[in-house]
Amino acid sequence: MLLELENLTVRYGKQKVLDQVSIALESKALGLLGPNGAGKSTLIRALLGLVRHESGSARIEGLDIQRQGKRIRELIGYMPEHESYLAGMTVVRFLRFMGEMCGLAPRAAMERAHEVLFYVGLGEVRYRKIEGFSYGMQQKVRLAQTLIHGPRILILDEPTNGLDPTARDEMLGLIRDMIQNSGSKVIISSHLLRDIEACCHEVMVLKRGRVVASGNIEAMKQTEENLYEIRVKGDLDGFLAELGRIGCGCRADDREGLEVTLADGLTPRRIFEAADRLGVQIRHFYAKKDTLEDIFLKVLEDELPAEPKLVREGRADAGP
Amino acid sequence: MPVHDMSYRAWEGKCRGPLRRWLAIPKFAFMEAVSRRLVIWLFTLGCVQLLLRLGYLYLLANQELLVAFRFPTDVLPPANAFFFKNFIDIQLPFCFALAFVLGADLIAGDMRHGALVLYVSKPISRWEYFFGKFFVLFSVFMLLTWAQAGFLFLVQWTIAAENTPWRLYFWNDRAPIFGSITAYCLVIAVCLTMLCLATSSLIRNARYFGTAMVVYIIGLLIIGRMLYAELGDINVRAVSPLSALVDLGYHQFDLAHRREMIDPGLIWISIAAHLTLCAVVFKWRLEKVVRHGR
Repeated sequence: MLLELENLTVRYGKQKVLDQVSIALESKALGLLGPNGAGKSTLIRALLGLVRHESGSARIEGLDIQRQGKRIRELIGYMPEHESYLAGMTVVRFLRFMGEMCGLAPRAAMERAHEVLFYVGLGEVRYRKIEGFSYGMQQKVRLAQTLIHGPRILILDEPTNGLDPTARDEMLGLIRDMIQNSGSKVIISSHLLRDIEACCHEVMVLKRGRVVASGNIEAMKQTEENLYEIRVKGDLDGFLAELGRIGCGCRADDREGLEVTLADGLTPRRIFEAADRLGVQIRHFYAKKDTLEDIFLKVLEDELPAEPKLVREGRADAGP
Repeated sequence: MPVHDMSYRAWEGKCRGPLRRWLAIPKFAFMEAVSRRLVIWLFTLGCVQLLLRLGYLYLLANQELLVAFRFPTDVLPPANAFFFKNFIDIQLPFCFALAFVLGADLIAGDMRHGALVLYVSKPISRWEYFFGKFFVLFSVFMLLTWAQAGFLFLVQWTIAAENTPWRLYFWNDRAPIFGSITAYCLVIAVCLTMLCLATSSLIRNARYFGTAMVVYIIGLLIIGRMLYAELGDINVRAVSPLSALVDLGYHQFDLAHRREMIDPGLIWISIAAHLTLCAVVFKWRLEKVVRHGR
């Protein structure tokens, strides 16, 4: 199991930052979603043993964060959210240092530093000092130091924060490549939904320190089974009236487009029959899925549920 | 067709044990230190006294040279406890200078650019981080004081004239001096290192690091002197760790009869209080920065 949390509570002074978080997730790529201040970074820090939890327990890959912190950190590569580098060092030397701290022999650390720098696209600037780098390049350095010892689990905290669209695409491309081409599991914390959607299979949504939704992204998108997007040609008003008569909820979003919600017990066939009766052509028929944004907004709008809303359908390893 | 596969490949080699991982911290800190010309210059200057004293010891052991030049041999003070204590005291300014240069960025540099989080997210404990940084300054201070004084002691013993019982007498009479050198240098190095680590963790700007150190050391020294002038009790000077250290030296080298001294018990309390304060400040800052990430 990638992540097992049981009543995990973390407090900063009097404020509960994580409140009785309980969840068990197995995924190759897990996204931590939530608005600012939801507790994503604190959860990551708790998993790394950087902040002490007040009560509860947490396990990563079966290792207890309280008792096996060092072993966990051997397995993990952590990319911090904020600026993190040693001034005055060249990139390659910095990475060699990080590698040696992870236990690589000096020569192996140097070789690996070169390899990783070429991988993230900083091969040509590896003898330059980090403080002279742009923010996007520094972000890549942070990713490179995460990869230096070939960790089994990568924890990336806001990896695309502050990047321009090109750099963001490059970063997401690297993350997707790592997910596909390595045995490593990835946990990405972000408030950018598209990043999570682009890289992750499972998602965990946090709000005010509690898990408000979690599960496979594809399965979560299919929760609205009775909503259809339809475009028709013909008597739109008559068709709307007919659909209303058979018990469908309708909303015309433009001149020919409709959003139709089927009442319980009705099948989509009834829509086609209604169209046939009125001689209306159905030119587009699409079972509408929620986007991750829809799910996210819906979950955040709701009050905190007593129990987390779990969606367990769908393949755990289903790609986005 | 791609000629080289640039997709991600994980590292599959073996990782080394905790000691080797820890060694990376002082190793890279030393590498950074020796790449600075000022550090090399200060350290070289810190070795000049050693060379002068070595020459002096040579003359002491070869007084016929002085006689040949009609130099009065009886004015040369012997290489006794005071000789070694004085040597260490003269080395202290170099220790302080290197403390200002090396210590300023030791922790502050990691905090300024958020690198502290990188250390503690690696398989390195906070204790290992602390000892890694501690080891850097501690070993520099010990090299400037204990290693050099110890070398002088060794030279003094080995070059003593063969045809006199000097060597045996020296060893019998002066052997405790080596213990005094070791204890005195250890206390100096630990106190100064802890002060540097605490100040560096507290003040991110290297410019103010020296100011803060001077304010702490000289400020407490002045307060101690003022209290002494007001109350007339020598023991109140123990509020200053520097006064306590200086007097500790006299006690260690058995020279306490030379002037009025702070009570040894109070000296140790003063040093313990200083070390505790530094440790508390360091731990508080480390926890705070690790918790908030920067």
